Amino acid sequence: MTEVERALLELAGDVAWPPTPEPSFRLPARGRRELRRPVLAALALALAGLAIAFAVPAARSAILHFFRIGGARIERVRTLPPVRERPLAASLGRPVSRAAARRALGAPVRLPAALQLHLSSSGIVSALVATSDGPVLASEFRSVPAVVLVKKVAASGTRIETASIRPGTTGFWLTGWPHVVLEPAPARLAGNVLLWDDGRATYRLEGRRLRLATALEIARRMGR
Amino acid sequence: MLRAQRGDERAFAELVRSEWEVAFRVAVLTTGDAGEAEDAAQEAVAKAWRALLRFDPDRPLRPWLLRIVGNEARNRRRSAGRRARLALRATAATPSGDAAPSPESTLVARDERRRLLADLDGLPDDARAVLTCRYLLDLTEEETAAALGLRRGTVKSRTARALDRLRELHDRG
Repeated sequence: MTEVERALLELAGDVAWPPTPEPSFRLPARGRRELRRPVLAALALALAGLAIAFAVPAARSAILHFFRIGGARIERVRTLPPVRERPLAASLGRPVSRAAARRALGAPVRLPAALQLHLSSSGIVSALVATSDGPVLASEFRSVPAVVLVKKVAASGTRIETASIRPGTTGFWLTGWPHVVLEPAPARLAGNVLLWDDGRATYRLEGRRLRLATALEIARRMGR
Repeated sequence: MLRAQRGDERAFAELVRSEWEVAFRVAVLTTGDAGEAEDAAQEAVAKAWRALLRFDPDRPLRPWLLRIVGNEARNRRRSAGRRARLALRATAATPSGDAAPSPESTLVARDERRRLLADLDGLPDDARAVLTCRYLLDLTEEETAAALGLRRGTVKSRTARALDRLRELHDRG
């Protein structure tokens, strides 16, 4: 350390900073009540919005700009942003133990057992699953109404349908034209996706050749 | 952290309270105004709360929080359309020590500190900011980079140049 560095460090205690005010944390609503909001109600609302949007073509562009399911947001756009395909494993995150994944989710991991789990910097737990439809990226992340962890945009060529995961749990099946996953970064083109939410977490299965039957089979194996 | 991420406001407040003073001072350094800095720091805390689920709990909180504070403070400074600068001043207090210094040596030391602080204050904004973060706020390179919105390599090179410049100024004086 040089003389001037030492002198600066010694000076640290002598600087007359303005008095530090008392913190008065005005935290916006992201409280427990919101965390506990019955997700069925949110899902019902989203489905109702979808039904209206699809039923009334004129209202489609006005209403169906976006909808939420758990921690995911899907936006309808006219044209997709220019992004390229990336390998499914491109943004998996770092490998973690099941215990670490559980800590990140704040609840037991539902992804199929015996898979290497990964944790992204945004808190998404993922694993690659080998299926008869090719590799499938399986992910789960917390469902918090005020927070979007996954953001997708889909043009008109992407079909969005509802799919019954199990009694009482409905998800969305995105197929047809590839859609774009904007978040988590980097943005990339995505194949077919099954997306659902159980109130605790949001789940996502993605594969270029993934069929709905295969996706539902995996989803049902993940339990509730 | 996990309690805070699950929505426990008290746990979050405890975490932030330990970083509050440095967050406020980073905001002061950037906005140049104590009132503006307080608003920036408070707003940054609210933003951090909203984004908390995206924070990796295995990583240190301070750089993440300082990045948000720095961004908020820079946005406010840009919006205000001015480049306020709060002058760095020394306190009137005498330095502490094991042995009581003589009145003469106390005066010399105080004068020397004031001169160094004045030299630091006279540096260009970029150099002054990086040295203030690194030495007066005792931030690491990573924390300084986060607070000032710079890359770590830039902090390193800018610090070296700023130290050289400060040394020159001080020797000249």
